[in-house]
Amino acid sequence: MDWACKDVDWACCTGPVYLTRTSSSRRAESLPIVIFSEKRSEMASRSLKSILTAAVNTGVTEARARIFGHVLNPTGLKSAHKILRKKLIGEKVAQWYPHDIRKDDPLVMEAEEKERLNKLEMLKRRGKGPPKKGQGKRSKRKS
Amino acid sequence: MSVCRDNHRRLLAEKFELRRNLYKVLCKDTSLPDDLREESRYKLSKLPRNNSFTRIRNRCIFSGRGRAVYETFRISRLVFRALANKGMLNGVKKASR
Repeated sequence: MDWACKDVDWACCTGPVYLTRTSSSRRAESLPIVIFSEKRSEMASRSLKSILTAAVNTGVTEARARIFGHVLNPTGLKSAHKILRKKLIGEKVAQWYPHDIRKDDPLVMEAEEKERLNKLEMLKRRGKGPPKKGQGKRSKRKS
Repeated sequence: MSVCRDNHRRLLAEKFELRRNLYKVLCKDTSLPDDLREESRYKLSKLPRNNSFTRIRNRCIFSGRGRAVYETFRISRLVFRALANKGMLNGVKKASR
């Protein structure tokens, strides 16, 4: 468990101080531990140690990020890193429709095309074929 | 016919996905110079509309129905019912039986 102090001015600290727990994979979670202010001298002697530990911790986190290629954001600014983190889904999306084996056989395709044209011809004979451009239901309603 | 259009959109989305992601990242990063951000914003807008993932609709692969399509089977509810009653869907049976 890593402990780090947020930027605190120890000299003029009078109120409670919060210690935060840092880990490389998640953002800093603040723990509800509070240290109340004590005598100035005690504060000064302890502060050096805590400053040292803070420095060591930041060094450790930076080294870890350097080794494993993490993207650090200690201040918590807005980062575009979360878009880069996501996996790519394009291939899965493109494979939604299965391959139709009828497409491989040219004879079958020709037969189907002929059927389609025959059907269209029959409809046209009855007067039920597609209307001319600009004469459809919607365009007539518009004008 | 809508199946044809949807398929076209899916292919385009796959083709441009990486590029689109990169442009988006470049224009959102606050630490980069402004002109680079503007340029990537412009390029992002220039990409074809049909390469967006939001334009894709999961259609039934049998009937082409746009609504009530289950993702696990990729078929609409009507086709699902027909096939399941025939027993053509593996491991699917009526819950009441």
